[in-house]
Parts: sequence; C-alpha cells; structure tokens
Amino acid sequence: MDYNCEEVTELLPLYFGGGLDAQGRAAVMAHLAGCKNCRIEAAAALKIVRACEEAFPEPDEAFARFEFPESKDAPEESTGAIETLTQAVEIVIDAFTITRKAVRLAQI
Amino acid sequence: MENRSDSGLVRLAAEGDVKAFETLITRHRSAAGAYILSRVPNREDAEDIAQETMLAAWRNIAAYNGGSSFKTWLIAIARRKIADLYRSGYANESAELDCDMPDGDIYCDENGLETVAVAADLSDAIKRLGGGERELVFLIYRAGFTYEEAAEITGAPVGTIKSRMSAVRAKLKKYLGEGYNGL
Repeated sequence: MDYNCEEVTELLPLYFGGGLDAQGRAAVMAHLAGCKNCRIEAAAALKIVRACEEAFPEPDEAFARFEFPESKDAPEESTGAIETLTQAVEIVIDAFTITRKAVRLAQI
Repeated sequence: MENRSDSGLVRLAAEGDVKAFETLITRHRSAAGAYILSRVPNREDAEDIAQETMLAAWRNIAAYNGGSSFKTWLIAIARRKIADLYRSGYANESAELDCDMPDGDIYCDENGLETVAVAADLSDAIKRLGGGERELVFLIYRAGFTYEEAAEITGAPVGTIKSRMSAVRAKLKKYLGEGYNGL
C-alpha cells in the first residue's frame, strides 16, 4: 500500500489518534521516511491533535447519563455455545467490513 | 458484553437489549458528549441535546443499517438535534456563525463579528475558529473521523471537506511550527 502526499495528509489525524490499523500505520510511516514535506505536515498534525484534547475536553462523568424513558426487560441469557458462535460470526462480519473499508481507502 | 463489536451490540439492541445499548452508548458517549459541548455552550442545553440524541438513537436503532460506523451515526443524530435547536432561534446562535477568512489573525468573536485577535496558543486559536471550521477540526482531529465520515455527518461533499481543512491549517499555520507552509 503506497500513499501519496495528499492521502497521507488526510490520514495523519487518524495516525496520531490511533485510528489506523497496523498496515495503515506502516504505510504512513514508510511515506514519512521519504518525504520531508509530509514530516513537517505530520508535526503540525500532531500539534493539532494535542491542542484539540485541550480545546475539546472530555465531558465529565456526570454529563449525559442516559436514562431510558420506560423500563425494558432484559432478554433471556443465551447458552454459552450460542454466545461463542454468535461472537465468532460477528468477528467474521467485522473482518469483512474492515477489509471492504481498506480496499475503498486504497482506491482513494 | 464489553467485548462485543459495535455491530454485534447494535443487533442485540435492535432486539430490545437494554444492556447492549447502554454498552454502545458508554463506548461512544465521550465523543458524542465532547461534540455536543463543542457546539452548545450552555451546559444544561447540551445535556438536553445529549439526552435527545441518545433517546433518538434508542428509538431508531432498528433502522441503523450499518452503512456507516455507529459513532458516525450517533454524531449525525446529535448534529440534527443541534440544528433543530438553532433553527428554533437559540439564544447562543451567534456562536455558530462561520467566519471563513483566510487571514490567521482574524477570528469570529462571541457575537460572530470579525475581530483581530491574537490567540494565546493553538488550542485557543482552535476555539476561536468559526463554527463550521471548529466542527470540522473536532470531527477530524479530535473524534478521529475520516474525511468521508465527516462528509457524511455534515452533508458536505468530500472535496469541500478537503478544501476547508486545508484552509483551516493555513489559518492555524503560525502555531504549527517553523517551516510549515501547509498542503
């Protein structure tokens, strides 16, 4: 996966914010190793990410505690085997979704 | 429950699983809450918006089709609730005016008027950006959305997001280090 400068610039906030997978991080790092302009851009992006932590602080624990307007009964507990199978299916679905997004990103 | 993916939790929540929905909300409450607080200055109003957002998400969870991430969907709901608030003549509407000025020293003050102001530092400069620009900076640099996701949330074309982000970086460049010229 090779990124051009415009793509790297778009990905830098994700890179510093922990939103890229290992392959994406490696591709960004490979580009930065060979591109001085993008290293300057990366330094700027890191500054903005850090400044945003101060400009947009985490809400405190008391903020937005959601209360359901009516009570809902919890569903019956499923058996352990069904729970495991359900989780396995979810992992496969999520892997497919991630792969599809990565293909789309590579096509940018 | 905490180990389940968002999509798994959504499927359970759509069947009426309260704990699954609560886990989803807990997972994304920080991003949604920070977004709402960045756009609604009054704490009580922001709380109301947050409650309306989560209630709307619960009531419409079955309609969520997974085309975007749950976080994107939740923020988009919050955005619509905030838009409803401002359409109703919200007193702090001036905070949302957008000064789209190329000069990094000209910002919008609390009345939405252009003013020459020297921000104390980069975070101060970000807080002084016009409403639309500040929102984009939050979505991209704070909440970690891609340009495509930010386009989906705001309804703007991806190309517009790219050009606006380029303009924002140009506006902030004096705080971005020696040699920064921006792409």
